[in-house]
Order: sequence, then C-alpha cells, then structure tokens
Amino acid sequence: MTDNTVFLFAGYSVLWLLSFGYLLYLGRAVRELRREVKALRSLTEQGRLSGGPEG
Amino acid sequence: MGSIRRFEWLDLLGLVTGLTLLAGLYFALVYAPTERLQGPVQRLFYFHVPSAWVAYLAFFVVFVASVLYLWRRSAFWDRLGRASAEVGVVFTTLTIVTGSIWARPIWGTWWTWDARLTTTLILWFIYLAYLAVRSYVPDRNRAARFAAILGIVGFVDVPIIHMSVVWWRTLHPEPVVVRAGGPALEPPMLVALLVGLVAMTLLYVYLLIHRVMVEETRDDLQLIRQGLAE
Repeated sequence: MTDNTVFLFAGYSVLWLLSFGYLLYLGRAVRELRREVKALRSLTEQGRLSGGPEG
Repeated sequence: MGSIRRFEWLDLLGLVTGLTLLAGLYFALVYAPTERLQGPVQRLFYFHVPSAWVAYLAFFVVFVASVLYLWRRSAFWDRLGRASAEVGVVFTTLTIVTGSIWARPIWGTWWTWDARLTTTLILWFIYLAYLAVRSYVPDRNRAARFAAILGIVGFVDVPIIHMSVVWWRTLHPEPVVVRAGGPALEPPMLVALLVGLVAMTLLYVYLLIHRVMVEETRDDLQLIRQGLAE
C-alpha cells in the first residue's frame, strides 16, 4: 500500500475551501442585496411623503 | 414575521447540513476501511462520487426548470434554473478537482483525455456557457429563453457521462454502486458513500435556496428601481 495521505489532505482541503467559499459569497450577496432593497424602499417612502414623483 | 420564520427554517437546514457533513467526514476518514491497493487517497471517493451525483441532480433540476420556463414563462422557473446551474457548476468543479487529485498518485497524472473525464469537462463548459448567456445577452427574456434551450440540450451530456465507462475503454473505474448485480463495495464503504451522498445533497439544497434568494432579491431590486424611475 502506498502512503498518499498528502493527496487525501489536499483533496479534502480543496473540497471544503470551495464549498464554504461559495457559501460565504452567497451569504454576503444576500446581505448586500437586502441592504440595497431596504435603502431603495425608504427612498420610495420618502418620495411619497414629500409628494415626489408618486405623490 | 414570515421572513423570521424562513430564517429559522433555513438555519435549521444549515445546522442539519453541517452535522451531516461532519458525519460524512467521520465515515469517510475513520469508519471506512483503508483500501488495500490505493491507500488513503481512495477516501476521496466518498465525496468525489456524491459531488458528481449532485451535479447530475443540479443539471436535472435545470432541465426540468428550463422545460417549465419555456412552457409557462414564469420567472420562478427561470430563477430556479439559473440558481441550480450555478450550484451545479460548483459541484462539477469539485468533482473534477477531487478526481484530478486522486488521479495523480493512482494514474501518475493529473489529467488524461479519458472518455469520462472529457465528457465531464464538456458538461462543465456547457453550463459555464449557460451562465455566460445569462450575463452577456442584454434582453432578459431572450437570455432566459436561450439559456433554457441550452439547459435542455446540455442535459443530454449527463447520460453520456454515466455510460462513457461502458461505451468506451477508459481508465476511469466502472460504476461500483449503480450496476447489474448490485453494489460492488464492502458494506462499511457503501455506508460511508451513502452518508456522503446525503450530506452533499443537503449541501446542494442549502446552497440552492440561498442562490434562489439572491435571484429573488435582485428581481425585487429591479422592480423598486423601475418604481423609482416612473
């Protein structure tokens, strides 16, 4: 039997780095988009209250 | 209130997914016996094969969502197809990379133009093209239509990949689970593989939900921007 543990370690490292890297990227994208939605919604509300384009 | 409930449900799914992945690691690295000929690197098999299966599942979801989008023209199916294609590309990348790392000590090379490897690489390119169409075609509806057609045609490669080790003489091992005569694995190895499969399927579902949420929020933003512009 050959000792190829280093390849096993490399394989699992890549597996978890890629999976969790993608998950972090998605989590950040959701948070940023939600922040933008909230900001735009409050802008719309302000426009309504001050009799803007929709008022 | 609805969004709080959704978050609780998603958190629970994330927790279950995390625990199942840890269990999968235990079964792959500790529980399963070391393969006599290949040595420790064979343990990559318990996540390499599930990654490939989950990639097939992801592209099957793209296929179904594409058919339903062309039929119903509903934004939901378009979003689901787009999300599943991206997650499928991630799992195909995992399959190719872990396979390549396994191949180096076993075959003596990182890559060979073997039928299974080549058809898998083609699959990867097909769905990269699917995602590129979404990004580069400016008209949203046209992009969705083109991508849906690609999502249907591209899925043809999946059964070809599965059968490639039977149709052509390849270096890649033949199927050891889905085969005539039942699985050709020792029971502890089969258990480790099944735990890995459950873990990776849960990870796919968890990632897919997040990706669909990104698409939904982008669509919300678009509507709000339109409202502001009018």
